[in-house]
Amino acid sequence: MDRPLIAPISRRTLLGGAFAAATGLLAACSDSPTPSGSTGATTLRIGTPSDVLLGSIQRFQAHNQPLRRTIFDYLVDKNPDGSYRAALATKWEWNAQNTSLVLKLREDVTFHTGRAFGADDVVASIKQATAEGSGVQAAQLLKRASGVNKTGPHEVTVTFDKPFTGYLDALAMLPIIDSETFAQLKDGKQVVGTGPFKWQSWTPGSKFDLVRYDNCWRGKANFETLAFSIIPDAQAMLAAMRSGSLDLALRMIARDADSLKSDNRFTVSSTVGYEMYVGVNVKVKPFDDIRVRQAVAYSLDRARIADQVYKGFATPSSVPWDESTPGITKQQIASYGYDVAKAKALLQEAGAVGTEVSISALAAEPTYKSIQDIVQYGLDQIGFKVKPVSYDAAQFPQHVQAGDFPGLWITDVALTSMGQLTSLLTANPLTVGKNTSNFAAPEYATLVEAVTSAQTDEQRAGTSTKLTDYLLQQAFHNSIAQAKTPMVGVKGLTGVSADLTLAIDLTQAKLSA
Amino acid sequence: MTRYVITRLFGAFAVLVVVSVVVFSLLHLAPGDPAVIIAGADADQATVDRIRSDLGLDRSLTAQYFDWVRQLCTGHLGTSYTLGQPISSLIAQRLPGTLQLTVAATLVMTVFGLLTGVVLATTRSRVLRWVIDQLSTLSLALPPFVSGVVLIFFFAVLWRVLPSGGDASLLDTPASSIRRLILPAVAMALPAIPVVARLLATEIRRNLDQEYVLTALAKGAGRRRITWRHVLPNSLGPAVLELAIRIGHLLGGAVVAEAIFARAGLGSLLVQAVQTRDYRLAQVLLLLAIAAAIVIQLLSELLIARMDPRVRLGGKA
Repeated sequence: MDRPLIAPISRRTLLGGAFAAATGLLAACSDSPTPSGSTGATTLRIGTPSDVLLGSIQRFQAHNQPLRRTIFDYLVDKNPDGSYRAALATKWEWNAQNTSLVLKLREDVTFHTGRAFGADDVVASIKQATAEGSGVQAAQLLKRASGVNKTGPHEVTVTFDKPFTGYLDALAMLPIIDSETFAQLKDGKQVVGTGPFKWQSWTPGSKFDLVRYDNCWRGKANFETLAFSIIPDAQAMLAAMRSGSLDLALRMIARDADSLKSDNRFTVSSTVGYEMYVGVNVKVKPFDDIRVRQAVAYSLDRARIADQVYKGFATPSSVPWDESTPGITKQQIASYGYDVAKAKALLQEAGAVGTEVSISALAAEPTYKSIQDIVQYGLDQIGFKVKPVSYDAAQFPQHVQAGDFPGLWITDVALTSMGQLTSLLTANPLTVGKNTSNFAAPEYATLVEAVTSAQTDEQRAGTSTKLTDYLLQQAFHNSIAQAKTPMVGVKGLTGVSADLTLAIDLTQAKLSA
Repeated sequence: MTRYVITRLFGAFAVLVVVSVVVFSLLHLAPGDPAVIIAGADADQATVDRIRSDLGLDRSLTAQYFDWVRQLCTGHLGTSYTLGQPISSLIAQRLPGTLQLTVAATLVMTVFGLLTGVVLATTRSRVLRWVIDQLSTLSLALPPFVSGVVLIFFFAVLWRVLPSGGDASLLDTPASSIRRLILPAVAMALPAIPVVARLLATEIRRNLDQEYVLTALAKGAGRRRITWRHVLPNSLGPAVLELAIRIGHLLGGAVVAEAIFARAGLGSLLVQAVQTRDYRLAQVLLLLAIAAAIVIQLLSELLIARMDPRVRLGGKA
C-alpha cells in the first residue's frame, strides 16, 4: 500500500499543537521565581534539611536548630573562649566554695502569650529537663545540683553537695520553656518561648513559618517572617539555592557549600563544630588489644578526609575536643599522623594481620559514606580485611545507644563546641560506666572525675591534659576532625549567627544591596 | 457488570486484610526502634523504655495489630509517633500535593503519549519517526531522578523560568502552584510517554488491517473520521491499561519526584515514616497506596469495557 489507509496528522495540526503547548508553557512561566536577595524583603526564606522535633525541644538535636534561638532563649550564653554572657539571667554569683549559685533574672521579659517570665519558669524548665526519661543532654549536668529553688520573683538559687562550676554550661544549652503551654508543644499547637520570633504555622515534613515578636526583650528583629522549607534532599537544597528560591540554606553538606563558594551570588560561612570519630568496640576481637586500636588510629588519613570530604570545613585532629580547650597541646592534636608503617608494625606485633573487621556508617549521610571509604582504604593498607556495613537512620542510633557495633563505626559527637565537660557527661561514646565503645577502666573514671571537679583554670588545664593523653593512648575513641556545619546565604544577607549549640540566631539578620 | 464489580470489591477487601498483616509484620520486624529515634543516640535506656511504653510498643505484636485494626474500623487512624499529629490530618495536609502531582503527570503522560502514538502510527515522514524514536529511547532511559535534575538545571538554574521545587496552594496561588507542578509532572511522565505511544501505535497499525476499516472506507467515510471515531477507540485498550498501571507507579514515583523537587506529598511522608520507623503512619500510608492501586485497576477495567464493546467483564465474551 503506497499511502496509509487513515489520515496522517497534518504538519499544520502538529505545528498548531506545538504552538499551543509552547504558549501554555510560557504563560505558566511568565511569573518567574522571586529573585533572591531582594533588598528590604520582609520574609527570609530558609531551607533546612530536617523537620523540627517539637517534643524534644530541650534536647540538643540538629532538627531543632532553627527554633532554639529564634523562639526560645537561654539563661546564659557561652562564648567561644569559655566565658559566659548574660541572657535571661543578668547575673550569676557563686559562693566562695562553689556550692551555691544565685541567678538574677531579667524583669522585662514576657512569653509570646504575654505572660511575664519569672523564677517559676526557670525552676519548671530545669524540672522538665531533669525528669526521668526526658533524654535532655543537659540533664546530666543539671542533675549535679542538689537543689533548685526560687528565692525571689526573679531569683533562683542552685545548690550543690560538691562544687560543680560546669553547671553554667548546662544553662547555656537549655531553652527556657513556658510551663503553662509545654504540654501542647509536641503537636505544634502551642510553641511558646520568649525569643524574637513566634510560632505561626507548621505543615509537618514540609514547612513552618515564624513571625516576629515585637515585644521581645532582645529588641525587634529585622524580618517580619521566617519561612522555613524542609528540604531533605541535598540536591534539591542546592537547586533551590541556585534558582533563587531560598535566601539561606542551613546545614548544607560541605561538598555543595564548596561548589557555591565561587558563585558571587552567595556567601558561604559555617557554624561552630562537632567531632567526627572512628569508634572502636573493645569487646570485639581483635579490638580488645590496645595495639590494634592504636594501629587503627594511625591508619586514619585525617588530612585527606578534611580536604576531600569536608572541603576545608574541618580541621584534622586526634583529640575529641576543640583546640581552645584548656590544657590541649598541638602535639596532642597531631599525635596520630597517617603512618601506615607504624600501624602495620603494631598490627603485626598484635598478630592481627589479615583479621576481618567491619566498619559501620550511616548510609543516608553522603559525608559519612565518603569518610567510610577513606577509612576503609586506610584499614586495607595496614593489613585488615575490611567489611563495610551500612545502617539506615533508624538502626544506627540504636547501635550507638546499645554499644553493639560489630567492630568499628564512624559518626559524630555533637556539642563538642560546648566544652570538654559537656562531651564527657552527655555524649554516649565518652561517658564513664556505659559507653558505645564498652570501654571501662578505673583510671578513665578517675580522670573524668578530676576534670569534672576541677575548680580553677590551672586545675582544668592539668586534668584535661592528663585525660586527653589517656584517651589518645587507649585509642577506643579515635577522633578524625573537628568539623563545621556550612551555611550558605545570598549575597547581602548579614547578621546571621549561630551559638555554640549550633542554634541559629536571626534577630539581626537583614538583606541589603 | 454490577456483579463483577461487587465480586472485585470483595476480592479487594480480602487483599487489604492480607496486606494489612503483611505490612504490619514487615514494618515491625525490620530492624530499628522508633523509641531510640525519638530519644536520640545519646539517650539512656530509661528514656528509651519510657518512650516505648508511651507509644505502646512494649505490648505484644498481636495486641498491637488488633488494636490498630480496631482503631481503623472505628475510623481512627491514630497519631504519628514522631510528628505527634493525628495521621488523618497529616494525610489531609499531604494528599492534595500528591493528587495534584499525580493528576498533572497523568495529564502529561496521557496527552503526549496518545498524541505521539497517533503520530507514530500515521506519519509518513521518516525523519519525524526517527526523531520520535530517538526521543522515546532517551526518555525511556532517563529515570525521574536524572531527568528531574536535568530539568531543574535548565529551567530553574540556567534559564530561571520555573521554580526548582516546593509547593503552593492551588486555591490560594493557582499560578504559582501550577508553575511548581510543571517540572515534577514532566519528570514523572517522561518514561511512560514512549511506552504508551508505542503500544498505541502498534495497536493502531494492527487495527488498520481490520475489515471494518476497509468497509468504512468503501462506504465513503472520511479518513479523519475513521481515525478518530473508529480506529483510535478500538486501539486504546492496551494503552489505557498501561496508563492505569503507570498511574499506580506514579504514586510510587512521587516519592522520588517529591524528594528532588522538595514537594510535600504522601510519598515523602511515607519515606519519612519508614526512615523513622513511625509504624502507625507507614502502615496507614501503605494500606492507602494499595487501596488506591486496586481502585485504579478496577476503574481502568471498567473504562476499557466501556470503550471497546468487544470486551465483556466477568468472563463472558
